[in-house]
Amino acid sequence: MSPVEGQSGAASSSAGLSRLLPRLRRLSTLRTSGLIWVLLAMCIAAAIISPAFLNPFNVINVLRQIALFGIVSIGMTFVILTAGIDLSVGSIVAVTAVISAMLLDVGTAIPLVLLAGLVVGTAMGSLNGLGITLGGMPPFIMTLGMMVMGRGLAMTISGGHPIHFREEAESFAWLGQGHFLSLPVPVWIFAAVAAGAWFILRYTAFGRNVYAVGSNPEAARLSGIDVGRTIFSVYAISGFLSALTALIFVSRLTVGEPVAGMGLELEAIAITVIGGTSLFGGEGSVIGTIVGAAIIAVLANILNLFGVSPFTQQIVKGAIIVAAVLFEMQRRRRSSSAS
Amino acid sequence: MVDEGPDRGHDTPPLLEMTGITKTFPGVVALNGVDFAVRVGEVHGLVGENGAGKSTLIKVLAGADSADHGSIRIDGRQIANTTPLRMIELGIAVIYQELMQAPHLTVAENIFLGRLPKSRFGLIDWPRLNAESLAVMQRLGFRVDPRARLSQLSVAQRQMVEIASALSRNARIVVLDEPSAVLGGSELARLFEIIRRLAGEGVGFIYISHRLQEVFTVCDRVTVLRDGSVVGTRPVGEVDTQTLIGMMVGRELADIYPRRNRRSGAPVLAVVGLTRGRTLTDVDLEVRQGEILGICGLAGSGRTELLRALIGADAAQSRSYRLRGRPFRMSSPRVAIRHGVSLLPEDRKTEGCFLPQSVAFNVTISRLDTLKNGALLSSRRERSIVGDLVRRLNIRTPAAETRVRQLSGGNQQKCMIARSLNAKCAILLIDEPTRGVDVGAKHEIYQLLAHLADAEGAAIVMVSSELPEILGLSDRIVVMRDGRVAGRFERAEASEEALMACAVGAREMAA
Amino acid sequence: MRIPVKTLTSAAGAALIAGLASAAFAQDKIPIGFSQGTMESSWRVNMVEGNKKYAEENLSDVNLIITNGENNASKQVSDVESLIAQGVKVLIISPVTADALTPVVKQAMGAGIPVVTLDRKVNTDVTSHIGADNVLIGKTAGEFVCETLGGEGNVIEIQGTAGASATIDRHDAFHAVLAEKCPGVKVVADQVANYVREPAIKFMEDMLQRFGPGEIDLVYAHNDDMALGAVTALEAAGRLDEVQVVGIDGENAAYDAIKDGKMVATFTYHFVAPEGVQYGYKVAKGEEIPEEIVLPTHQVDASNVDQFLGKGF
Repeated sequence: MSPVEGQSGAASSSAGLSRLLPRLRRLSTLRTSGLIWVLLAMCIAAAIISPAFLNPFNVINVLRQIALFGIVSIGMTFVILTAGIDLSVGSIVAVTAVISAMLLDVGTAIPLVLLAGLVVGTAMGSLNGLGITLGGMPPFIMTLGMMVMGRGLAMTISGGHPIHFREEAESFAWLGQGHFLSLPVPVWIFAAVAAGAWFILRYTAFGRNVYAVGSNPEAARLSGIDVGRTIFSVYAISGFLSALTALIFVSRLTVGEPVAGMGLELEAIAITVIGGTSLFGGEGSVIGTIVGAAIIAVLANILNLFGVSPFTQQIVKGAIIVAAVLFEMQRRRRSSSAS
Repeated sequence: MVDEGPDRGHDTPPLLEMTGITKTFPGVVALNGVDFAVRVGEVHGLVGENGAGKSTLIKVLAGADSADHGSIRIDGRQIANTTPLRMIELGIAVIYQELMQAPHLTVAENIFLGRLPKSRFGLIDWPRLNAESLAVMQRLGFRVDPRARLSQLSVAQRQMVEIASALSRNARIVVLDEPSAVLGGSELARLFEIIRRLAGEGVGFIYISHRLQEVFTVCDRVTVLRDGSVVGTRPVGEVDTQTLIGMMVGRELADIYPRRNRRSGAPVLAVVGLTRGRTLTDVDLEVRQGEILGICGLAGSGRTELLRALIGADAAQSRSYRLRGRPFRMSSPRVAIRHGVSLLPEDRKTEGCFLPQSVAFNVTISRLDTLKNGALLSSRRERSIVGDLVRRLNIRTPAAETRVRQLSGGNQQKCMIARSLNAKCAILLIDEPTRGVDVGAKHEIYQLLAHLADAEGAAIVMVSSELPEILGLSDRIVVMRDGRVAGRFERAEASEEALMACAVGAREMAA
Repeated sequence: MRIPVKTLTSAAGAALIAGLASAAFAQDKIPIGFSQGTMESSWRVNMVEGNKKYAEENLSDVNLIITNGENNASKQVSDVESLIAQGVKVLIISPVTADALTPVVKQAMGAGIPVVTLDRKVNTDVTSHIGADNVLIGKTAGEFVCETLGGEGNVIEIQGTAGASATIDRHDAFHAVLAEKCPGVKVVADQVANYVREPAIKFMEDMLQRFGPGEIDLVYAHNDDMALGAVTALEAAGRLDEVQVVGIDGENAAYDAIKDGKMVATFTYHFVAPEGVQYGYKVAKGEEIPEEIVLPTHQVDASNVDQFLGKGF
């Protein structure tokens, strides 16, 4: 039925093109496969040098570390996929931590505390989203403002002091300190969040819209995507996941600290970027972010096991971040010049 | 037509002589023993489909790439070490389609970019800079205030500035890569004048264009490349469009434009009094089912703005807007697509395609619920839907997962059309359907559009700068000038001269 | 694509191995964990260095693993978890804040790892706490201030890290004495400056704007770093002669300041080195040590500063 049937044309413009093959090439794995090799190599090297690395306690420790930073990094992934950035995650954690601790201290039921915390974080993230979509502010500026205001808010509400809560709320400790099937609860939470995020990005229209908006916002608009709603949503998601992280932190420390989450945004951005998500938007994956979190966690673990000075650790971490991004840019340059 | 000038340079060595140029990249031979020469004062056209090797040849000439084999001679002297800097010093200047300019700097600064004249103390000598800029522009027969900021100039003027910059470096061979892509009729005429004037002074030109009529207008000889090899070099007087196309494509294309079975139905989109600020004033327009409505006019006449306003991408007011006979408020592209109206924007790369994403992504993005299995998207459904469309439109791609960035212009355009079809849009607004598309794919796209209109009853509104295209495909034609409708034509009564005259304003035609 | 990755990683791996092979051999010694809360002040750095040096010189069968919480309770908790996973025999810890580190210390104690807290406490039972008595310091400082001001005056208080037991003690004890012995002395403003000089300077500058000449009589800073910061701000504003500055810790710079008349007093605060690792080692060897080991503290003012010059840190 094709009108161009029989018009094979010279097809000289792309030598050796084949017909469409229903091959399932999973693009995200291709991109991150290099990183997975790096991670594996690190683990193998560590295991060879120090058998303590494979000690089950240590492995669980590393998994826990991945989970603690991974949750907020997944939120950051959504944001960076749209070519945005969220500098306020640390402050959202602080406000949520302080408010939840205060609620626990006056005896609020735990399910309500959880709900309230998540609502607070999502609300702050939504404010970011509104400022960026309706207000037209660049994400860097809007979330920077929220970062500063949020920190101030946390300090003001708490008077600058950590908020502790009474002993009866012991059962709240399960969230951050408990174990389920011998793995720490945060690890399960992270697994659920990661699975959910992966599904959304891969198998929902919203997920596609996120990639489209990040690749080319004008083309997205002309293709009929509601750009404003998509952008708003990713910031709300980031706020939600920041709040979730805060609840876990509060449970782990049994205090709500107004200084909680300082520097968390940089960790999350580093993890996301190492995991292959482009700061220019449109490229990245949940799997990449998981691997990024794992690389950072394993690296810190290795350096700890070998007694490397904490100061040196920072140098190494910074160098890895730069190296990882350089590596990703090289790969991108090579793949685009091959056209 | 320019005289070959037998007394020009036949016994002296050619200005430029590239011999046996071969260049391979992994897996593909880009240039295969290419011989290409330009005489002193010659305007030499270079044509070929996308991927034929034109850009690679120019890159080798400019020193950006080095050939694996072959030699380059300028004035008979072989150039051993070709670096970009060296080639510029030797007088090679390339004016790319994407102008390499600094929009926030002044005209004079742009002309002398990187070589600003300095005074005794090492500071910039502004008076000298402006004076020398004026001198160069005078040579071109073109003048703007050298202190004006570049962003304030029109695209045509910016192109002139670029040429001035090349001249100020004493360019002896100027390569023009698709210069007319951004120019309208009168600007193009001026460009040709300048080319002839400079050629008269001995500057050699290499003129690359997909628009063959231009080659006939301004060039002395023309070389056709196909698949990295030279098919032939001929004086322009000895060939015609058909022959050239035949050489480019490797076969005779009997009919570039498909035969149409014209049968129009009821109006599906009708707007009265469409106005947007100063860019559109009181435009009445109507397109019918099964019809192709062509819109032409000079650059800046409001053609693109018209399409954007029709689809709600830009805010506009109208006295009446009816979609399929019923009043409608076109508030956004989202609403438009949901009601079956889609836009293929003028600039595919920046406004249309999601370059880093796959073909499948690009094709399905406007309407994802056809892929849904419950709440989630089904890869199986996607594969089948995308596979169908790829086959139907003959989109040449290794796989549905290939990134659109890697496709040729023609196939990218077909993806855009596929996107509209997937979104079940029967009213297509297309801005420059074959810009950056090579001849073979152009033909396919024309066939496709004709089929959509004739066999499937789609209504197509098509903006184009190529009058032959407008005349070849349209049922009715609207000419825009300064944001208004300057004339309406039925296909039968239209001709290139009439359309151009109307666009330029020489004669008003009855609406 | 894969080849450059592997080259890169094997190069990095080789570097790691080469650089840290020596550390790997330390696996045969007794692992003792030392979790420092922050290294932002010289006092803390001295604590770590003092203990580390002692262990290197005298305890050859000990592998002292040191971590830095970077003033972040969350990080320090992770540090402790890491140390536990590495199987340390004793945990020596100076927590950033009391409450936040309590659960993980409880976990360590529960897992049979003896815990020795240095300088700052947690809110659960530990094997032993070693430190100078902050309550005593706060009390003595309060009495000194009462006396110096003759029972009347305005005081600016610059506090340490909120939630640390040292801060709480230095603050509460001070105020208790003021309330009891000289209610005429009032703390008109206070701010948390985390024991770090820079925020203290900023705060002091703001206070000098808020309170005009003659409205501030004395500055009570929870450590010398902050006290010296206050001195800097006062000097810059030319108001040092009307305000007395009191610090805590016993830095050489503070002694010099007292000698020059820029500060009026400081209270020595032992940085628990080498006592930290000394007692930790005893516990590792199975010895009994007292539950609370109080380190002595001295009031240093103009009258006795000559004896202390150069003996601080």
